Amino acid sequence: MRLICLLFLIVSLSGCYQNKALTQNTLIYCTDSQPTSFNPQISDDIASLDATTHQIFSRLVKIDSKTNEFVPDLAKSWERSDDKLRYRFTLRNNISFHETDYFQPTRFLNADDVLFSFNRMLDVTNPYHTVNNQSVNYFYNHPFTNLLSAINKIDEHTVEFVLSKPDVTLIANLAAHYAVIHSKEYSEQLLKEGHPEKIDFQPIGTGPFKFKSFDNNGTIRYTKNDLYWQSMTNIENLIFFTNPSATKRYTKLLSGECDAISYPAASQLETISHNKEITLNSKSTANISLWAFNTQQDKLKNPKIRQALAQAVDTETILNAVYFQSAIQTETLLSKQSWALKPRFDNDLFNPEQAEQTLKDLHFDFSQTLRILLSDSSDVFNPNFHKTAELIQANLAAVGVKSRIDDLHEIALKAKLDSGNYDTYLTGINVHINDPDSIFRPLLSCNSTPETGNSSNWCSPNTQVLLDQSLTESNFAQRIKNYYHIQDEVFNQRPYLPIAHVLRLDAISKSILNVEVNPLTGINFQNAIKQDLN
Amino acid sequence: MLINNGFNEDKIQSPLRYIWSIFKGKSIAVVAMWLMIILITTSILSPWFMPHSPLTQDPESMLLPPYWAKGGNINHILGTDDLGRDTLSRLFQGLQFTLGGALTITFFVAFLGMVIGAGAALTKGVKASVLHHLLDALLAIPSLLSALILITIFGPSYTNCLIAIGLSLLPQFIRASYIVIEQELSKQYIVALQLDGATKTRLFRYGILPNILEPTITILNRLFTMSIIEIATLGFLGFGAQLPQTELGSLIANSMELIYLSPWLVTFPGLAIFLVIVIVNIFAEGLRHAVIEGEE
Amino acid sequence: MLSFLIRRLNLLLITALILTIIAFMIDRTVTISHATTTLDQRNYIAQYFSYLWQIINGNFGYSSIDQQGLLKRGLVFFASTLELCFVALLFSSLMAIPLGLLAGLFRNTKLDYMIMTIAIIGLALPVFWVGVMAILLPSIGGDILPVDGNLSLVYDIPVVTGFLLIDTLLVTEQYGFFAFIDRVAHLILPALVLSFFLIAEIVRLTRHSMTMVMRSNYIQTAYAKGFSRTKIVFTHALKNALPPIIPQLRLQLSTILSFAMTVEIVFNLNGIGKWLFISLKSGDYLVLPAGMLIITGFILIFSIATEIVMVLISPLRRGSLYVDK
Repeated sequence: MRLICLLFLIVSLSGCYQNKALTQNTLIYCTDSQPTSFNPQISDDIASLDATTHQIFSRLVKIDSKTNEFVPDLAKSWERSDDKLRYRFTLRNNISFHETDYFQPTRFLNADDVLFSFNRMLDVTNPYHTVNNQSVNYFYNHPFTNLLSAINKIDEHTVEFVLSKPDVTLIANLAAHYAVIHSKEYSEQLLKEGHPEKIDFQPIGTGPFKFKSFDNNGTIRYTKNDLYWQSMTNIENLIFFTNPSATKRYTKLLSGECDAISYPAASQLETISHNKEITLNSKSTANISLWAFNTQQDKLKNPKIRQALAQAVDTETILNAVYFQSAIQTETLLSKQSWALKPRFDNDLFNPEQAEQTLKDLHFDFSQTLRILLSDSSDVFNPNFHKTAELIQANLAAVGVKSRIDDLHEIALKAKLDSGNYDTYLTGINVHINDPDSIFRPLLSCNSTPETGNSSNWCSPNTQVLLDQSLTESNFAQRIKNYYHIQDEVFNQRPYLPIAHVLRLDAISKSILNVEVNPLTGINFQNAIKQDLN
Repeated sequence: MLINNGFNEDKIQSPLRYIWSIFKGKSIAVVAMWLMIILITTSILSPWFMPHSPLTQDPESMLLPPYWAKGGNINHILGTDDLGRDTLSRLFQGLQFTLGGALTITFFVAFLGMVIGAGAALTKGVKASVLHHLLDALLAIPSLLSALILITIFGPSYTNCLIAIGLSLLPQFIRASYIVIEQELSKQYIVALQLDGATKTRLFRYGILPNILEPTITILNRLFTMSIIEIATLGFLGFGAQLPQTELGSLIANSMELIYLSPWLVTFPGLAIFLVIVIVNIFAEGLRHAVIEGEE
Repeated sequence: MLSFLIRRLNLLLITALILTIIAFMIDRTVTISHATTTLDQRNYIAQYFSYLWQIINGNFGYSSIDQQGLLKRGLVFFASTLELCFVALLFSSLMAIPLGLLAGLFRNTKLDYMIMTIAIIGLALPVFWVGVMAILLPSIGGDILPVDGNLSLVYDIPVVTGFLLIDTLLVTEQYGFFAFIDRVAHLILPALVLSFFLIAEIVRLTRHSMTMVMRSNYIQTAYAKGFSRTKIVFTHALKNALPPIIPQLRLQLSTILSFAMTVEIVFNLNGIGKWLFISLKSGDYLVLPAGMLIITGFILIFSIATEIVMVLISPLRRGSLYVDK
């Protein structure tokens, strides 16, 4: 009897526990990790980008999702001077910043806001320059520092960017996530209140959604920006929810508690693709998963040894076992879409016999243990580091090389990388603009540390010169040639073994339409429409 | 030699023998006992007779279902995991860690707990009072929390996890054995022994120990059950056995992402934990009944 | 009465003091082993007293990640845990007490064995595994019950008491009863899983207690008087069999909380277990002493409270009111 009562209760509850009226205009996106801040200028992890770039902020230029061309966004138009050094942007009129309970704008967007947004990054004397940004490394990878010589305000609605030398990547950089426009008025208000750090945690932007709250359980709430200058959709509330377990996210997608999820588990892709109520959105990215050899370590100093170890690893099995269909196998650092890619047709990439022979010929000390360093949590470029390492370990054992897997947690890992006392490191790199330099520079430049990407401690004068030259080279053919040289050197010296180019995956319920995902700058819910399927 | 067999005397069995003869009559409990013995020996001996090593990868046969399901293979009776490792071998290895750990914990905690508990019950005054307050305080800390604390301080590893669980179960065991001995102490035959001038060790060895068999079985059973559950829980949370050690709880955690692809990988380790606990409980319950009947 | 209260309070204070010492030791150990700056080398006793002073003033330290006070946050999370425990306890009492009474009444019959088998199964099912298996539910049955989270994200409930069942009732103007129903739906599965273990415990305790009562002399007397069995059970046995369960269950409180913490982590409920787990994973070690003090503080106060209540309702225990040690 009691059981019957209970069953009845459960059935009656399950019928109505989801309130249709409320869910109709609410979109819930379940992500795998929390943003580290709400400013894409200082945090470039994918979670922060997803949560901010397209939702809260706008840029002067954007990439049209259909044609992949640069189109004006906050800027009405732009023109380039004949010497290719000056770009003049005319801003749109009557664009309002978000009105929230913590900030009420008194004026529309103007040139001062643009100047403030860029000067915060470039001008060391700007009061916001060091706010929430103590690390020195950050500016290194930052493109604007070398690119711009000045930014001038011509009038209230005209801004001029002056380049230090002709560079074609300016527009691409202005469409990137770190070129978002902040409100100068808000920054002044915060300075007066004495809490400048809030600018990155209670953001004010011009985007389609405005920030409402972020609680310590990983829930971010946004509401529709009623003052948005473009047409908006029927989404009133946008909610981001963090749940690190991919299985749980998928379960919530099935039960309707999430409308879209980021990074469904690689192992579940097949199940998901059979589900008729879910669309799987996959975008190829330049993000790459790699195995880095610490070239400063004695046992790995010889490039031939690195070559042999790389040859011993069967990347195809790794792809099948770890990534399933969530990545594309690769032999090069650059993705197939890149214009600088030098195609390669090598047959003996995986050749354990030859690897073993080479190692024997080189009198490799088989009694020593090769350490494989890895992070103990998963990342966007590797759903399961440990499994990958186990496969590599088995491959190495097949050629007689002993290895040990070191899972380290964030802080310990950072200390280990800083000390330089590691052999190999399973890692990857996120790429935020579609330029070969953004891959090669962090990985290969002498100025880059293991923490900023150069986990092989690679430093070759030759590579450095090529890198610096191609950045300023205006002859496109010469740039390509330089990058070809770099790729050859990487191939011969083997500081890295590229494993896979990872896809950006989102599983989206069929009831949500028009979600745009840009693999570089994040997800965009501006045009999303929620429809009632029942 | 004169054999005096004139009196047809009933042979009086020793109490333990008598209990054993009652226990033998309980078929379910006897089955549970045999299962327990088989489980322990097979998991210890498994590396010698299992056809596959728990760590051998096989890229050719990844994620096989058990052999009775469609697509299964008789070579891998319970199927394989995502790296092509044999599930059955891994289960036995997991059992080794879980069951072995639980047995170790039970042994050490029972020994220490009994000594401290008896000491507390047999002494009075400041020492006992201090111990009581300390126990009260330690008992208030949930065992999962104390395990978390110890692991945070000493770092996650299988040994630390065992120590943490042992230390967190110890206060409960001391308290339980203290109560049992305390109850026994107030009985009249103990008072008689005390009046005889028995020393404390003698009092404990001959007066108390034989009479607390039944509650001790209950406490030990509880201790063992709790330690299995906690080893598995900590393993599941990633604070116990570290890869490549495979403990049953961590087996479940590592296969969670594969739950839709191959639910077997999550089901089997859970079932194994379940079965071990059920078998041990049935055995202990049977033994307890035998003791009660033997005493009556 | 007063002397009894003072004696109890005395015990409480000493135990609490020991706990703060333990908390202090944990605090020192984690700060020293994870410290980036060198600490001042004052002697530990002086440090302890300043730590104790902070605790008494309600300052349990600050999170090393976002510099928020730990006490307030911990209490909010703990309220959630208590809510889960309470619902599970309610549910399992409803199931287990009748079962335990039956088993005790019909000791060593088929019915008894059946009930005890259920209890053993409940004990043997690993809590986290059942939670993991529950994930499969939506893929089999579709949208039956939520398996993850405290509350649907649609509802933005301001934290008033921390007890979501109450907080959701406070916002009925905005959401109607939907938020409350949603909360109840989210509680069902975790509470059910948690009550597996509780049912096993309560059945065992009730059965034992009932057996003891049925063997006692006054029940035998009642039989001798010729009362019917039903009458004896309902008028005499029940009244005396149930109260002894409460102190026994109180001893299990820390185990129950331990299981509840596991359930929270598995079902992703925002309770103290998940809070500690997530914080530890992200390197915020100061939550440990704070969380420990909150949990143990609750257990201590609750134990004393039940003891006082027991003394008030049970004549047998009332004796301790007058005994001077």
